[in-house]
Amino acid sequence: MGSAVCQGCHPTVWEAFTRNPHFRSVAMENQPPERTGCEGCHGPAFLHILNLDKEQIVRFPPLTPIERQRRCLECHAGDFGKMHVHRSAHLTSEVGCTSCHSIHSAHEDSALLSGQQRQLCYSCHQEIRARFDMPFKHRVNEGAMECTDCHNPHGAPVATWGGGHSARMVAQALGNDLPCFRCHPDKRGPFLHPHPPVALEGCFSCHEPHGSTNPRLLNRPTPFTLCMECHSDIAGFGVRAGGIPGPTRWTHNLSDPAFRECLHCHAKIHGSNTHTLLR
Amino acid sequence: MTNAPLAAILAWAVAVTLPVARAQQPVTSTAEEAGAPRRLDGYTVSNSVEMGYRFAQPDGDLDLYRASVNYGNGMRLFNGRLRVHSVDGKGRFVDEFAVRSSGAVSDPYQSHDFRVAKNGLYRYDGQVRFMRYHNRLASLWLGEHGLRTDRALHSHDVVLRPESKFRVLVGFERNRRTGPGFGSGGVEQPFDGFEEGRFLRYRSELRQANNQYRAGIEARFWGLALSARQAINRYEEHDEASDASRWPTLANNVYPIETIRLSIPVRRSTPVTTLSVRTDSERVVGFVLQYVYAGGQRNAMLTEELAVRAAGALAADRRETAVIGDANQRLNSGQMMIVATPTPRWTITNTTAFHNTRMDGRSSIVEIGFDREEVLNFEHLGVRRLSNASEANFRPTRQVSLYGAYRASSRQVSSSAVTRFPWAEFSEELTSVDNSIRSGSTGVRLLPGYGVRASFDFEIGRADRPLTPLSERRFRNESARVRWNSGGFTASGHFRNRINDNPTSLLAYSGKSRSRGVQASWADPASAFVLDVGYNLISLDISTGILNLFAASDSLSERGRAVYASRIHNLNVALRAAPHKRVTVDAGYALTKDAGVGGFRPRGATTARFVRDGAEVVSSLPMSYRSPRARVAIAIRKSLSWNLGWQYYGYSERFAGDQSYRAHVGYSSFTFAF
Repeated sequence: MGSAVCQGCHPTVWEAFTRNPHFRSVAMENQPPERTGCEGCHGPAFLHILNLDKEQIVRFPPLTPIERQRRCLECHAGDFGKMHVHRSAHLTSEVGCTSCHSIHSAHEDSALLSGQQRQLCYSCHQEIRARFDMPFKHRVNEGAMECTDCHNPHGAPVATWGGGHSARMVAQALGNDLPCFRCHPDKRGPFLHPHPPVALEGCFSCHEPHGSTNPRLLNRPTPFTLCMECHSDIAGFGVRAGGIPGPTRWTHNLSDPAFRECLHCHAKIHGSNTHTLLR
Repeated sequence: MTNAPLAAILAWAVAVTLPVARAQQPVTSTAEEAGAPRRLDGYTVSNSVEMGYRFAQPDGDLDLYRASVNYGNGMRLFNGRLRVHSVDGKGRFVDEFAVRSSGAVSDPYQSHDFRVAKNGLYRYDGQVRFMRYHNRLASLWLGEHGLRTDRALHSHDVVLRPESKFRVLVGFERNRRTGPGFGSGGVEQPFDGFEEGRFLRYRSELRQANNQYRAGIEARFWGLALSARQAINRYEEHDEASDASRWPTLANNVYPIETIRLSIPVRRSTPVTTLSVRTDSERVVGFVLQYVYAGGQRNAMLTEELAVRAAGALAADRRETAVIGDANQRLNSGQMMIVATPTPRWTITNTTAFHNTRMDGRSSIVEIGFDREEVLNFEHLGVRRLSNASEANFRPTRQVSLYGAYRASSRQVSSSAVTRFPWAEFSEELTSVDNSIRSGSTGVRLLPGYGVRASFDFEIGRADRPLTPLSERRFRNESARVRWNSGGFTASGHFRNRINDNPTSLLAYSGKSRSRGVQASWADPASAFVLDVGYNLISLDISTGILNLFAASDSLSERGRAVYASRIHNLNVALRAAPHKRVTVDAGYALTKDAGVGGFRPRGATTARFVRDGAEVVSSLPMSYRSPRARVAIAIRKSLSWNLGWQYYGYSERFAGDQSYRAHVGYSSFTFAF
């Protein structure tokens, strides 16, 4: 039928639709009707118009999340950022596209989000909202960052750090790196003397990425305990399974407060190109 | 484009760049926009600007305030939007122009997004962000508080023929950071006794910049989508120190630095190639293939001249050091995902991934002064990882969905190192260590109707040779979410337990992370009333072994135990009401409170971040951070409103070095459309 017919009964919907990214396919006039405009999503409208029956056209509210998603993926399955959508935690949790996107009453033009991005995420991820209320956090509430800077809500590849079995929604920087390295490229290396957990386990070994009550988003309030929990000389751990070397009291007497701050001397804790002791 | 939208764009540009308009992020959220879309010569134009003055009155530890809040006084452009769309999608040069800006010009946290597009021809997306903050780690670096770090991130992407089946992508990204750097210099005396004074801490001026140039193509044909992208990253770092007198507070050095001249330039080049082929639409069987190669070469050079006067010494000890180092990295990774949807009830995926990283390099050290040494280090670190994840969703009815997954990952870490002195060579031969992780997970999702949805997940996993005592070994994750929506009322709750045990022959690591929360909100569209209340409890219990270096001598028997426990309570309340048709009121309260080690707070915990009790070290950080806020918006005209806002920040901790602060931050602004 074409979208022009729909305007007659749905003028306000159509008026707003002209500011919608999906309107481009109508303006371009290079797509068949079933791939563009109203019928691109709502299906053939002939019977709906003939009988004025709203049951004879595809309406999204009665659809299950997966049914809605399948209609969207008819066009978007090949998108680069959505290629892992089938293994996304959202899909497997029955959270469909319209849980976050609103085609006809979007808050954000570009991605047609139905609300402010962080508020949409907070509506389910309450514990993350609590993290961003903490005194030390990435500046998401302040507007300097967005959740999608680090996460891909449409699903991400298998992680290439850590055990490679978790972090299904963490976006990856170029090179399949942790997304942290996009803003913190100095930590990426390669270093001649790398701190192995950075490359092997990821930043989460020492940092809580969303927000923390501890400075520097550290997992512990006292840095020396964080270091010493690994550097304990216990056999079986470390890149050579010979134990992660621990200091000796002879060189690191913790009774002296100067030695409780490991980064005093090991300042290049993420990796160094000049000294094996990360200085 | 005709003159009217152009004039609107120019007016916008002038508004956001006025020197006096020192913008800042609103304290409270600004949901309203002034003005409705209006037609202007074939274009639909809508805009909204919120501009005003903010005052900040901090008290207490101002350095910590600057580290975590950092709002100041002055004129601000709080928020702004401009959207221009061609009505028929056939504008002459532009079909879409959009700007979204928050905290423009001088806010410590700024974000600006741009889009310009002409249907069928091009689309430009730009993003510029600025962040300004002060470092804070008082227990680590005295005097670090007052040092400002600036970050600027730019990202610009152009897509040519964005609606066609063959698209060309070109992009540029710049990430710049300036601020303090930290380093330490050790006076090498490998066969002599260790003296604390032989390690020197210094602060430097650090400049880092990473430029990324990228280009690629995307094509769709024969039911496939193909992407090929090439990016080159150029990273530069300059770490320089030249004036020791500027750091009188770095008194952690036992022997003060008399003079220092330090320079560490670093260069890195990282080419990245990404190739991907995937099915272009929903099919019974689809696939995704992806391959990424990232090279990397990093060159660094250190030159240092240092003079240190030991206590009682007549003259300063002087040292000159030169270190040249380079490191190389070759990363290959790939993924293959098969998606099968044999019936609408089933979605089955299998993803196999490999990842191979090889890092190596060498450095040489020449030191003249205290000692003379020549050392050549050669280190190699290799990581090879194979992963497979099989996941399935089965939906027996429209109300029930079942999820199951099995994931296995195998990692091989190989390393070697060689250190050469003029008189000896020490080497660690190439050694490989294997580690595998296997986990199974299952879940149930319920959509029983009546606005209820619930999900329950369980995962259990085992690793055979974790890298660190903190790594996952015998882990279990449990989580649940329940949500009920009825009309304008929504209630939800969640819990998540993450439990990991890592037993060893001598000491055991045990970590338990728990999060639980409830949230309720009620929205009445008729009266514009919204109430949102949420409470979360995030608790963490860590118990693990550490070396007891407080002890009088070294021995295995003097290993100790580290305990960390936190109980973080978070309360968030938000209220919005419109008591009058021209008046909107927003109010809120956020509280974060860590009870520290909770019910078993050790003696002395109020004065230090850790307490030692024999061989046990208990660390905690009992603190509270609360932030009430309020905002009143009064509509003066249809497209003009006056806003008055206030927010209080109160941080409190109880230690010997009290770093608590309080701050009243308020503002008065106008929201208008032109």
